[in-house]
Amino acid sequence: MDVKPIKVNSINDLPEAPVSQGITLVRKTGSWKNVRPVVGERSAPCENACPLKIRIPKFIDYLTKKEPEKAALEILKWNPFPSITGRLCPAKCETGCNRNKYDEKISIRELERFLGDLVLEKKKIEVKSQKKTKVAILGTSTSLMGTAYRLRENGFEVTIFAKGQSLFSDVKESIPGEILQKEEQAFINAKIELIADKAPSISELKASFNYIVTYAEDAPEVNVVDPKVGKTDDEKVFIVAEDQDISRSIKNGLTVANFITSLDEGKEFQEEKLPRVVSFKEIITDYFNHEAAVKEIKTIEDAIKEGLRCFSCGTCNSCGNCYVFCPDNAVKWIDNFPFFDYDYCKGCGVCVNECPRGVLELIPEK
Amino acid sequence: MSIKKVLTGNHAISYGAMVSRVQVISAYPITPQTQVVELLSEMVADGILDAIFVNVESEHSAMSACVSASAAGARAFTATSAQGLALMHEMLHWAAGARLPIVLAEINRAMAPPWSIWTDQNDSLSQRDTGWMQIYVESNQEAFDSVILAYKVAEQVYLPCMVVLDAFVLSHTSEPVEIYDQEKVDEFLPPYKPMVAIEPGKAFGYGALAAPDTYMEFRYKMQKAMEKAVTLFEKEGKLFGEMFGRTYGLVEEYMMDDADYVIVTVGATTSTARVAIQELRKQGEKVGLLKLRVIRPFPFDKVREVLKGRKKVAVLDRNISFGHHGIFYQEIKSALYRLKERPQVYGYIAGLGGRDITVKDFIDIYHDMKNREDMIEIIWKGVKL
Repeated sequence: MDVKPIKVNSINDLPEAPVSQGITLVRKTGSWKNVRPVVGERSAPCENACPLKIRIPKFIDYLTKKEPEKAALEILKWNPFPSITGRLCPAKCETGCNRNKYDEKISIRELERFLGDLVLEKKKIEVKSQKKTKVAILGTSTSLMGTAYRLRENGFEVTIFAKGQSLFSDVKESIPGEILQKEEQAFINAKIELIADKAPSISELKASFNYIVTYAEDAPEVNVVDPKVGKTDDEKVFIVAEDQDISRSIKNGLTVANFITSLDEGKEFQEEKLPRVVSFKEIITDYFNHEAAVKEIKTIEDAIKEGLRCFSCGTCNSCGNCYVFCPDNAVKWIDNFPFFDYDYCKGCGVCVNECPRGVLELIPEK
Repeated sequence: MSIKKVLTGNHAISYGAMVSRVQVISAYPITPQTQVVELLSEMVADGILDAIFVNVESEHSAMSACVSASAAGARAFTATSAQGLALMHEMLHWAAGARLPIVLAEINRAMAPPWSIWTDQNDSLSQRDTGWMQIYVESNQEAFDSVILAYKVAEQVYLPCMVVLDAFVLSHTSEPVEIYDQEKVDEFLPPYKPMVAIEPGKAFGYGALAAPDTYMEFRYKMQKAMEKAVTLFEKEGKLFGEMFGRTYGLVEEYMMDDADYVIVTVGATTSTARVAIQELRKQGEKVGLLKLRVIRPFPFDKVREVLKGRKKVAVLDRNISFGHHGIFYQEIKSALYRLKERPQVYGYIAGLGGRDITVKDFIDIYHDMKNREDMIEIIWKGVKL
């Protein structure tokens, strides 16, 4: 808004009664502040504990805003197989959940399973841009399937060589066949080539593929030099490490895929790190009620009910407290999200104090 | 055609508000004021008076309602006494600072504790510096007339005005009061034109923040408005006389032509003093009476003009500024300070909490003043020492 100050040179420039002559916006009271509120970079203990770093508060936010499909897609960004992990994962997220210290943890794994199943039928691997680079995946366990999934997403031509007939061989006993069938269908739809009953040697594959990804026992001729990203002494061969925790195994598979992608695109590989965790002490529990957890989620209503219990530590879920409590109207509410008008924010910190989930923080003014 | 009614001071005020066509009345009951708004509420209920009567839970809210009504462009009226007026205090400043010409009938009642319902002037004088104009009346007719005059002046200078009358002595005592023809009152008092009216859809801040670079200018303007009111009270009082047969000024003089000694009074005791003056005159004493009618704005020029060249002045205060003197005594003294030759002034405090001030008291005061040689600042009349 264009505001101009009114100059008072004599009493004639003023009205008889004390009535405003313009808008007070001309006084940019924001200049008084020595600290400013910002939407801080914070994370929840659940997402930190998760090996896959699934943005749990974020997907729960979509869910509670009645967008379960968006919630499922948010999970798929970090974890290609929520229907599998939702059944088998040891759920370290739930152990980390701040709500444990209040009453009862959020049933995160159950939410993940429900949302994974919800979109399983329509699940589609979105190929970003087709590359000519060819990758051979030697083996069919879930972690390697993660590598295949991510590489295909990133545009690689992916071929899976299976000793047997089916994919996800390691979880065949514990996951219902119909689910694995649908996961497999998504691979077929995305034009991932599957060559069954075949176990070619590394040297055979090297002739026709740019990269080969497999397990250590299937490639005894190479030595791992960087276990974090699966790098070996053969620059074409990468090894995915198996772990007891299925989510950790999948993460290993995805990391190898990400590393190959940056290698192929000539970019520097960057390991992702989550920002500082919001502790339970930072949660203003006055804004929450004690409620029993929904342990078995059967309907969307169940899921939303459980989602609403989430503290959403460090992730804004548009509760609007900052907007409501700001004494200076300096918090603007745009697209369901707070924005600070620093021209008028005096840095009083009420918004930060009233944010129930540690999203906002005060930083010193330069 | 005007009609004569036998009315108490309180009802004279109600009629004054009625003929002034007040549009919003908001008040909270308190003895001895209650009858003022009681009759007005009946007038509104009976459809005699086209006004909105706003019931409130306190005097603070009553004045708040009047402030909003006046800011929206309505002629607003209220009445109160003593503790009620004290509770209004914050909003009295608001009404004056926002330049809203509200009229308030103030029935002088002594402040508690100790509890008292009887008259003295400390309640209204506690509000002396709020920016309200104050008229003190002597009779029920003057009470009625002063409501009309108060609106006439207030709405030209945009300052609120109190019409002050003594509890019981006037408020509950009946006298004949001439109620003027409504058409003539309408001719004298045109509808209220607000300086700025609050309207739906037109957003602005009323009484909003004024930083140090502008606040003082608003205070200057208030003082200038007060100064303008000095002239207006004389002008409109004269016009009132031409139209209704009763002329009012800032002060009133009685037997002052050759008076060497003067008694100064404010309010209903003036009538008692008049009788004392008559008796003293019969005995050949050269004594006169000065009645202060308007005390805010203070009629400095008029007081100087009247008291110049007199020998001695006795000021009767039905009030006290604790740790100082009687308030009117202070003000008369300060008005005379600029004169090269000043009469000697004595301050008498009498009648606090409604104690009678008799004709004999005034005669005693006169002799005391005449014979007094000391420079004592405060003379208590009738206190049981």
